[in-house]
Amino acid sequence: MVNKAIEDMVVARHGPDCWQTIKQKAGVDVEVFIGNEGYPDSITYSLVAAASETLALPADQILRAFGEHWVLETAQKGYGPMMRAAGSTLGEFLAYLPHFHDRVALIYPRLEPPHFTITDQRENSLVLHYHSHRPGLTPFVEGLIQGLAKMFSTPASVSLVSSRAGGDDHDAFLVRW
Amino acid sequence: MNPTPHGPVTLQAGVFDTLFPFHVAFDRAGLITRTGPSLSRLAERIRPGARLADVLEARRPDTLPDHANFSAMARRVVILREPLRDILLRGQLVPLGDDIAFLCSPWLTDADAIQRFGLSLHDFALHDPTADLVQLVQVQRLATADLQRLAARLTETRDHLRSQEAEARKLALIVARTGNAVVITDREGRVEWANEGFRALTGYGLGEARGRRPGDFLQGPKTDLACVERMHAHLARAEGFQEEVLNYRKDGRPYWVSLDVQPIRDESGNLVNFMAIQADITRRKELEFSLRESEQRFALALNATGEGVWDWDLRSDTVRHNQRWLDLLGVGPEFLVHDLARFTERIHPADRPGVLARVRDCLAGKGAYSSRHRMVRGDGKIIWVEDRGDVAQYDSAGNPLRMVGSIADVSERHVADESLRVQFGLARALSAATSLTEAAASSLRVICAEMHWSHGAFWAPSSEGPHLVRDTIHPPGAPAGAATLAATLAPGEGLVGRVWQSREADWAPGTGTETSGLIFATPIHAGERTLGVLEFHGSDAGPPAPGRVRTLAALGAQLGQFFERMRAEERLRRRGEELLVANTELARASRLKDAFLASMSHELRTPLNSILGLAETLAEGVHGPLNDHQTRYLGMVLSSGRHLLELINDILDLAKLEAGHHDLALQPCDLREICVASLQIIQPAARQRRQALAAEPPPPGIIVRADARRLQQVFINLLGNAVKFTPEGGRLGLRVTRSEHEVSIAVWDEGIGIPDEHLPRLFQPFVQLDSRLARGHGGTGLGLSLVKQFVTLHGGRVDLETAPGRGSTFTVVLPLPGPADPGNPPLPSPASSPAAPEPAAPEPLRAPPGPGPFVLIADDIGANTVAVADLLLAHGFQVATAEDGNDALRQIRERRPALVLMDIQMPVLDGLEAIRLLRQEPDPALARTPVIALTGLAMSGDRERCLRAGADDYLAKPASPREILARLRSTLAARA
Repeated sequence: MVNKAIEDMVVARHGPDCWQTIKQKAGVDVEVFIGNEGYPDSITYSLVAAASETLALPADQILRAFGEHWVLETAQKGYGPMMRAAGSTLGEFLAYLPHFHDRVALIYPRLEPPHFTITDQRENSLVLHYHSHRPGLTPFVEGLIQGLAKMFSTPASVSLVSSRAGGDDHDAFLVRW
Repeated sequence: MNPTPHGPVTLQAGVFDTLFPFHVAFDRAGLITRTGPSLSRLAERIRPGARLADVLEARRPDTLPDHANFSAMARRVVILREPLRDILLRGQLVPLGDDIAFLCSPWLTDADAIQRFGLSLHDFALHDPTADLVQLVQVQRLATADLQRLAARLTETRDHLRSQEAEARKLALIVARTGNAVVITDREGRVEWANEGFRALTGYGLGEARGRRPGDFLQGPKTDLACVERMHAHLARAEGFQEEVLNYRKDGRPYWVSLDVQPIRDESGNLVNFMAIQADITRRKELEFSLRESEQRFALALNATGEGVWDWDLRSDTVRHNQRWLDLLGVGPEFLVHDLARFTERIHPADRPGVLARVRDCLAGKGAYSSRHRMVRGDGKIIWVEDRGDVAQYDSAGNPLRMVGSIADVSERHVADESLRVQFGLARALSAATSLTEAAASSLRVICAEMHWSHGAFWAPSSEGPHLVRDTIHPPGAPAGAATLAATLAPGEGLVGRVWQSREADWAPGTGTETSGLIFATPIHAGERTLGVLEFHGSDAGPPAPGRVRTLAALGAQLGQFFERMRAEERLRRRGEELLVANTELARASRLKDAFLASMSHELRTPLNSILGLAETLAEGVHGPLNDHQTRYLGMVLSSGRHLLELINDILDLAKLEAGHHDLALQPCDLREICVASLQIIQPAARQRRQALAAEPPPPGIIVRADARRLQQVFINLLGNAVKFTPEGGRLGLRVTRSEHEVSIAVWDEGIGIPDEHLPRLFQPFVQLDSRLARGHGGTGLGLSLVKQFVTLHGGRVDLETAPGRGSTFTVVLPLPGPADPGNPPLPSPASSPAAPEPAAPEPLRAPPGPGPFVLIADDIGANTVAVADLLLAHGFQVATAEDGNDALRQIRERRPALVLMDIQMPVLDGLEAIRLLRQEPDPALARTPVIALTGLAMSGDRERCLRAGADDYLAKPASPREILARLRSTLAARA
């Protein structure tokens, strides 16, 4: 999913040649990323690094942008109806997020998707716990949440309340809207 | 909740609804007892109290569940359909208390349906895999799209690779097979690969060349070191370049190559190789060297021929010349190379447009350039040149790049050509001129055009004084610098005046304008007379060429002769016009005379007829017997009167002929009838003179085209002459012979003949050959003239054979119409005709053919008959005569005349008796033949006697011609 998000955003914003350059730089020889196919995590990290270098942007910033772009552009093309069925508000949707990933984990065990849990659910906030074996994608998740907030036209703040970088076993985001 | 494994399980309604949010339960009556919350949202009609059968349809199995079929249906998947929204519900039946519950979920095939049915994922129980199914389908669909994209990308890549591969194969083949040498080096310039062409060109195989720099083994002693340095610099900068280099083969032979070197870079733009293509251009180089040499030789040769050469490079628009060109044009070395504009400046302004047009034609491919025109030398002198050239070089598209040519000075030849041309042109112009004015204008035009004078003038001596007047200028309208048309000059004044006085051609500097750099004047003279001066203005500076002076002097003489001739012709023409006026006047007078004669003759005849008529009446003794004296005198009166009448009639005819008023009524006529009628009329006169009339009329069927009345007049006239000029008791006659195209009617006599000296005047009017004869024989002197004119009008002629004392033969020869008519019988030739024809009885007179009514005149006095017959013939009637009553009756029966003029006192049978007998004729048409009695019986009662005898009318002699005609016409009209 991250790979596709990177490709989609680079092609959309910088053109296919830039994407080829990034792929070449990353040493990635994959012509098309298949949605239900698992790819080595190294590919993702290489692509992020190459994109960061090519677009001359920090990796965090790029990942955040990729996350947001995925929600607002990429997912709309294929996952739109499913996402709209998942809830009519940001809170509803975030609450349903764990079910999504549980289901994906069942359907495509090779994808090794992260899993989410929700705690401290209030009317205008919740804490989203993000568990993944892939380090470093925290900004991507943050970008996703920001993208969702825009999708539901809901001004929201996302703050990392616990992080693996900070020694916790997972990342947790306090989302207020 | 009951923990017993097989016992009843009790669930709270809320829990049940959470687990089965889409369930529906119904009782034995088929009425719905409860529904899940999500199902209510999905289909409002499915609610408690509604009949199951009213809101759902069975799909599988095909009957709705009820308590009766429950046990069978509980063991299978049940699918029901909500018909209004077309929603399939999939589930199974379970007992729920006394009711039956259908635990189900809506069957969804895509995520859109969730929203379409107004649901969300929260409507599904967490254990319900429907959402999983939808998500799976969704992900699968996206994966499929990805795969399709991949497949398309792969197909595209494959096609691209294939075409690249084909292109590469082609290129590889070209590189391997090309005649050019292709070398691939590494980035250092060392040979990695070379094609077969390289071996062919250099003699070095790939094995020998690999790993070496080409320059190291291909360059040699004459290789341009500057070029080598340039190549090294390009290579060092990894740049492509093109050079022409002299290399050396392995065997030491030099050769020229065109070298094209290009760097080859990888995807990152790093230099990896150089590729060099070498084309052998040795042949081209040799040609270039050879061309350069031949051009040099050519230039040397041209300088030697004495022709001025020009070489125009169209790209730079510069023109080069050789020294000879500079010499011809009298210009300095600054003209060796200069731009086109300076070149064209040297062409005479008047000739420039034509020259440039011819050059353009040559450049457009319309053939080589050739021109004769004037050029202006550096010193202002004008020379004539013959200029020839052609395109010498084209680019690959066929556009001319270079034009080369040469000029030769042909001034002398041009003057000679010009002289011929202008003299010829002048001769032609003068031959077409009809007046002196026209000749002067056309001469100036031709001389100015052919000799390139800008304008010219013709000066003529004034008719009012001893000075010259400018008569004509060319072009019309006063040219700049010239005086007006009315300008005059005294002898010796100005150039023209001087030339007039000295009679020598001369020149003077002009006014200095572009059209008058030189004035030239030449006299126009014929012999010793000077008729004028020609003046010309030209643009040339300096004295005219001697050849041109000679030409102009010759033109002056040519014009002089013409002017002289024109003046003579003018005098002749005026004389001719005067004569024409005189002739016209004469002809008018002649016509007046003829008209007067015709009128007078007619007026004279009327009283004369009265005189004659009265004299005849007296002579016939109508008014009592006459004594001898009276008889003799009356005979003289009658003879003189008849002569006078004959004279008047002839004059009338002649006058008509000469006035051109005689239109013959030509039509086919039988000659025999005309001859017989003529003989008949003349017979009484011959008989009176006891002459033997040998009548040999032709057989019928000889058809001539004639006016029968006039032809009869001719024959009567000739026969009358024969009677007159043959002594009493002599012989005369008529005979006819014919050939293929002609018929001859000869009237012969044995009379006095005609002396030779009289023959030339024989047919002239008013000429009588012998006045003694005229007195003895009467005659008007007009007869033969009339004969000749009438015969001529018939297209025939009159021949004469005569000998004094032996007689004459007048032969009328008439043409026969068209090819000989097979019906025309052959006639005896003159040789076979009887030498002495027997006198023969005249043939019965038959009416000659003609348009008018046929009148029979019965009178025993021949002279009377002739007078009346003449009158009637003259008025268009056909006439025959009878000598007495018997003869008249016979002819009436035979010939059926339209009217009879009957004399009363006739021998044998008189007129009254003849009329009575006629009226008794059995044929009623014949008996009614109109008769006018014409007699000297003028006594009272005579008229009644005649009318009683059967005459239609009565005329007393003498009757005037007018009266005779009037009565005749009125009687005929009454009968018509």
